Amino acid sequence: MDDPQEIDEVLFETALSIDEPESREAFFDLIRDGDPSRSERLRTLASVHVQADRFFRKAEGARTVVATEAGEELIDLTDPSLLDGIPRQTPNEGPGERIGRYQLEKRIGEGGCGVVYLAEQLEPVRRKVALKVIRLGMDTERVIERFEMERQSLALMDHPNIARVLDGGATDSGRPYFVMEWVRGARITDYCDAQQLSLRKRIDLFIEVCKGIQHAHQKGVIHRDIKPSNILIDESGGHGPKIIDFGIAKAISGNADSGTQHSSHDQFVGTPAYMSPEQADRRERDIDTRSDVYSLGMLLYELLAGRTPFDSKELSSVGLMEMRRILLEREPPAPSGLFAAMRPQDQQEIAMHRKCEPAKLPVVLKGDLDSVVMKAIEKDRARRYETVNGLVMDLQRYLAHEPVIARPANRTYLFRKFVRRNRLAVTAGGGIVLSLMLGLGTAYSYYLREREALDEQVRLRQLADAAHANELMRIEEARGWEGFAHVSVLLSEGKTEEADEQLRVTPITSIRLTPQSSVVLRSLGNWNALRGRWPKATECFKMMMKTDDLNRGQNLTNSLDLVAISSVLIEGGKPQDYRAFQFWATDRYAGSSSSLDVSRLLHAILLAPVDHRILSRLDQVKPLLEEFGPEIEPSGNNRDREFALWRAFGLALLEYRQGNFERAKHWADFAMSFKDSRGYILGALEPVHAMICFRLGELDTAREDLDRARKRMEKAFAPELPAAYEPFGQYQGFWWDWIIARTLFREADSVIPCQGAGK
Amino acid sequence: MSAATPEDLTSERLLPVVYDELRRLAAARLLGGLQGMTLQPTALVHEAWIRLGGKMDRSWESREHFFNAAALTMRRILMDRARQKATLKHGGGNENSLIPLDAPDMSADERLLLIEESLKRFESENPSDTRIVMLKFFAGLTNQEVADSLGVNEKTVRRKWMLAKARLFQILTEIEQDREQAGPA
Repeated sequence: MDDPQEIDEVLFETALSIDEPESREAFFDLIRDGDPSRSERLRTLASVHVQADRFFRKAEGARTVVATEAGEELIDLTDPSLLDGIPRQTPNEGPGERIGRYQLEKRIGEGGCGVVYLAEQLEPVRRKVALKVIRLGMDTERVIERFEMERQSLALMDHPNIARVLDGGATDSGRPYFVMEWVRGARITDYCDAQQLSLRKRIDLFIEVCKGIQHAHQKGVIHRDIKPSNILIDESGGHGPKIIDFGIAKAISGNADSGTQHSSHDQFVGTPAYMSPEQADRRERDIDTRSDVYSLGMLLYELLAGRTPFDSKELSSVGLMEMRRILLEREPPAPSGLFAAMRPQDQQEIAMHRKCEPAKLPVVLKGDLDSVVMKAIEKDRARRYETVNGLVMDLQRYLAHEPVIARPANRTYLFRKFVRRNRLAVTAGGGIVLSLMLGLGTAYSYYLREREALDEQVRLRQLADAAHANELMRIEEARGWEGFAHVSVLLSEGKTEEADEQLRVTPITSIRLTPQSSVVLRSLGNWNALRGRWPKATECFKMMMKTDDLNRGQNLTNSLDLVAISSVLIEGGKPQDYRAFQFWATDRYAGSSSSLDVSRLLHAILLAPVDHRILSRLDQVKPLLEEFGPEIEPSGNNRDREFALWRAFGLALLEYRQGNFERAKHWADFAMSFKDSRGYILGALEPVHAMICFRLGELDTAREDLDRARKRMEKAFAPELPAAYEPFGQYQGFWWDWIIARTLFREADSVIPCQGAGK
Repeated sequence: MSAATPEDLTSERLLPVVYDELRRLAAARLLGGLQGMTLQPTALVHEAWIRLGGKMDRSWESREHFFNAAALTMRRILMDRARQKATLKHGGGNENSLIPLDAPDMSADERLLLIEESLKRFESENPSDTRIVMLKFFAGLTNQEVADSLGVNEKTVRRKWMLAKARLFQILTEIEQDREQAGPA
């Protein structure tokens, strides 16, 4: 039980997980108190760890070199008996070779996960088939096992739009292969362009695809890799679209045991541009038919607008982490918006393929078609069409000029918004609700994982105790964390009362801070803030900052978190908390090269007067923010315009805090000149404009601004804060937008004397 | 090869079989010329497992025996070759040549010989973890595969390999220093 070697290992791993040198030293000091020699030994080991890694990486290259030389030296390559029973061209099969009862004829394609051959089946019937050999190593047994499990359901599928999967097995060199009905044809997108199909015809064709998928879903088969190259149409078009590769993605991707969508080589199975967020999320184990709805939505998007919203090239060039982030977080533009933002020559080409005027296409897309597509590709699958059939019915409604269900949701929402205006003005934007939901999903898998880890930790704890390293891993903390993650699960299931109860048992401050905890803390913080529970929210966000401190080098907070944290601290923290935060945030983001980050930094830290040291450091960010491009044109994309507006607002606020009132006025006027600004932006802008005008002696303008701001606040802040949040549309602003507006309003109100009061 | 019974499957008994299989696969690769004429021990071992493993039962014991045998074989093949070359180069037996550890031009053989030497010392202080080093380094298995083969937890493997690498490197440095002191004399 008491294995000193194992204790060393655990302590060593823990030490290496501490990036900051001082903290790591402190950790060794801690061990030294109980066991000086061990501490010294591990300290020296830790100091060579990086070099050791490098050495062994190079050694792997050395291994190959020497092995090759040894091979050439030791093997008599002229001895033919060596090759007995070994296919000569391991690992590449080629035309002319035989695999099982199939004779390969020619290579007809190559994809991310394998090579496709046209082959002839020799028995029991002679016919042409497509045979796909998968490029994987060790996993063969499992791939085939999974395929066998799926086989029965695959056999049940019988639909004119589905190419049947006929067989599967392993080649002599041990790689899995699948045999499919051979479909001659072009990918659906190419076919539509070549035939110059109108939008209507494209939708008709797409509905046929959906029917095939729906059929499979009824038989319990999810495709998981729907994309243009898996939907083929022969040139005559007579046979309708055929969906290929059914069941293959599942067989070659991980199953529930491994919980991933990755092969042993960590290569993505699936095609990023069409892959649902839950598939991209490696923690998500449960993929259902709504994932296919998403991919179909992306396909429809491309059929209509000519592109997918996330560029395939970009996705495959940014690396896995960033790709996941984009799929999980980035809000796609609507098809009409994407099209409108393209270069004219691209618009021309895409419109031509649709027999449509470039100017007319976005008009046709805008409205119902945009809504249908966007509903299908909602990041949160609970908000997508429940079934493929739902998507089909909505498209049929569109074709029949009936209202689609994707849109009335918005009308209801507008109506609800009207009814609730007085009661419920602090609202959650789509973005935050989304991140909240995703956060909770993530939290759930952490919860499961932590529970598994608990047993292991009990054991380690005993070892650690024996080593007098009491501070290492406290089982109570592990329990606390478990309870805490449990809270998030309860929240995600809507069981708020139980969650509250659990929170009483498990104080937030008792948890162990790990990189994962920031995800849960963010969810909880937002959840509390939306309910106006400022002390609890403050606690969460303060812990989140602490987690970030413990993980130097990998910022767990993002710049949007800054704004959330600042609002919470202003609302629920002590003044010194906010002051400390101003420094903390400046350290992290003043050097950022992203204008979005920097502009958020300004909103976050300038809500109250600020230390002169910070103010002088902020001079460096001005050049980055002051350049405005075409995004400020009234015709520009709403989102870009909004960012531009926030930047101008940030500059006005910065100049104001620095005492440069003329410059401040310039930026504030510029921001005010934007047309159709949202209420929550004006809510922040008006008080700042008012204060600037007041400093410049324009008392009347200042008062007018202030009055408008006051009315806005009265309307926005009902007598009490909302008791429960509801997911609102994305243009309502985040909850903190209103907190920012109110904070600035209060300041302006206290600075500017009322009418009649002597100056 | 006839099907082996479980009793046959000790690592030692598997050695000739594995050696033979590795040789055939290596030959096939070199003759096929498709791999740019390099032999990746990792790939060879895996391929050998696919070919031989299918004929064995799939318990972790037989996995363990197989990969142990493969790692051992690889180690022998690599070391024989490296020694042979070093002897040619130095005209025999000059063990005291100085090679700085971080030298970029350190040859592949020198690198492997150093590892071999430190692995021997490592083995004397920690015989049980030597197996993990063998499986990781000579057979090129992933942590998960090592764990599957030894019937232990993946985390345990990761931790042991992490510590072993650092310790091996430390021993390596000691060997270097010993030579340095002996060298200039």
